[in-house]
Amino acid sequence: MSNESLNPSSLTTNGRLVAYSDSLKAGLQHGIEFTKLFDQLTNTKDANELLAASTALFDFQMDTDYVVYPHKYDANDYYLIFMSRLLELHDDKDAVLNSREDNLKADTLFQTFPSIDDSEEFHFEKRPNQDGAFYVEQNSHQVIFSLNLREKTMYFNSDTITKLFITEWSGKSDNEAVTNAVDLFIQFGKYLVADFGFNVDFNMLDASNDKKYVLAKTDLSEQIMDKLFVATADNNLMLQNMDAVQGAFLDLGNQIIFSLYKEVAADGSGHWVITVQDPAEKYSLFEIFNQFAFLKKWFLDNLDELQIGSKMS
Amino acid sequence: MSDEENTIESQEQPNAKLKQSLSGKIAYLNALQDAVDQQDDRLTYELLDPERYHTEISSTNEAAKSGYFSLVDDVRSQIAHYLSYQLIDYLAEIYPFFYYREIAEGEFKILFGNWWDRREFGYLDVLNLEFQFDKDEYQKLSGTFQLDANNKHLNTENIAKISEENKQLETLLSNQDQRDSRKAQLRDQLADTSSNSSFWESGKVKEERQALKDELTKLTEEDQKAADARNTMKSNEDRILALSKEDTILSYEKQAIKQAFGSFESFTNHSKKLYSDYLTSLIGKEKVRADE
Repeated sequence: MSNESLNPSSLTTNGRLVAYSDSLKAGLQHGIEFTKLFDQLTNTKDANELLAASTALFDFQMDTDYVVYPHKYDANDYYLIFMSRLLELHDDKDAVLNSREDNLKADTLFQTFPSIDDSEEFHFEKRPNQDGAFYVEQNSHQVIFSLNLREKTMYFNSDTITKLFITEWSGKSDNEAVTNAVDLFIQFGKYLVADFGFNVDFNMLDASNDKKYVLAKTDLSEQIMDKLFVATADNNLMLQNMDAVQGAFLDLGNQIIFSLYKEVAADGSGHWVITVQDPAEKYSLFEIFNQFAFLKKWFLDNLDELQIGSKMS
Repeated sequence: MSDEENTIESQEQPNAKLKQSLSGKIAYLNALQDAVDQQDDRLTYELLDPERYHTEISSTNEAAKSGYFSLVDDVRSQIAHYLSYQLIDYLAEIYPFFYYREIAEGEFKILFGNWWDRREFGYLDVLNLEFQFDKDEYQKLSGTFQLDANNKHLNTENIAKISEENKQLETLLSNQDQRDSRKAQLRDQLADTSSNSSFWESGKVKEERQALKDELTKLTEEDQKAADARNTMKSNEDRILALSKEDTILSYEKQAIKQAFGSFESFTNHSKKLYSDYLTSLIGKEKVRADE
């Protein structure tokens, strides 16, 4: 950290020696400030202190002109530690924080979900010109959600929910394991809302009854509904006509109602939405696809038309 | 009889007749008004078509005179609208699979079922208590019941045929690599035969060359077919979807009728005598009310 008032070139030799020492001290002091924040990040039992430490560390520049620390964590790692610690504070233990030794810097950190697949590793990544960090599956680089601790936002990515959770994971594990793993992300989002008042878009994972999953495309071909109609009949269910609006709904049993209809705004513009309603508000759109194979197949077969829009840019 | 008397009498007679017919009309309109006031739909129907009522319901109500219903010609749609309320309540019980949309006052379109893209099945004539089923749609449903005996749907065979065509196109597409390598082989052979040809062998070589060329032409034609295959397959899939959808709708209709009536015949028989069925049920209701 250079100090403008101590411009060494304008000083006497002795003055320059003093300035050097002061700069070193400032650099070391800066390191000590870092360790205080780091200790707070790793030890605190208070969620707000955890958030404050993580937010500060994410933008923290450890090195100064005079003191360079060779072993450093990536800024993204503080987000990962934050996530792990917040889950830990809430006694959620399904995600495991792992470290791999790295000679060039501090350890490399990553998360795994042993109940699904140990080979998939998750961490945060920064994107150029975008604030916050993106929680990513490392092999596929698929972004699961974006997180911004300063802005207090978390947005799930519908594309990844579809590709990773619904397509890949569903094939590998049983429905329950997938539900549990995805549930962990949902829980994390809920803690962010409850503890800090984050603005979280759960997207396809939102199980509340009034959630409208808005389709990215404004127009649907007629065949989308026809395909669903034929598929439901093959599964001994019946796609029913909606009287008040253009659309249809499906009674999936246990009072779970799946609807797809066109919502028309006051200005006459319309967009298609899916809703899922159940008395206990347990079912999100994701969970519906996880539980009902024919709906999942219909959704994936027609993904180019049915993809759900996302707040995440 | 004097002339004077005669004149008086001849004036009085048409006067009396006119009075009689006017009071008949007033009585008719009064009766109709009472019927509407008391929501006595049975009486309303009787007043609207006394002859039919007497023929089909075999009542002997002398108060209802025929010939006057043309008086209410201009309010028929209003009467139909009014009568539809109780009628549709009744129909909902007996024909639970029919839904009605009032497209103009007193005019009702019949919708079959509550499922997606349910079919329009004709009209409900409220005043005459008649279903006017759409002939084509009715015919399709009737056909479905006939096929039901063989466990088949209307479009089963058609769907199988188109699916088979798509399978063949799929094979054509997947054999592209084989065709390409065979074509390369054929072209090499053609090149060989032309470089090795000598005057004496030319007849035989010509034959060989022609065979090679023919096969090449055949493969090129298949290539062309394969190039069109994707489009053909897509339009075939669309046709299969449309046919499957129709089958699904028809099977829902069939199920609905079986559930309510047991058989198509029973449904048809009932729907033909809606007039007597409905009025009999109204009479039944009157009796129950009178007994209470």
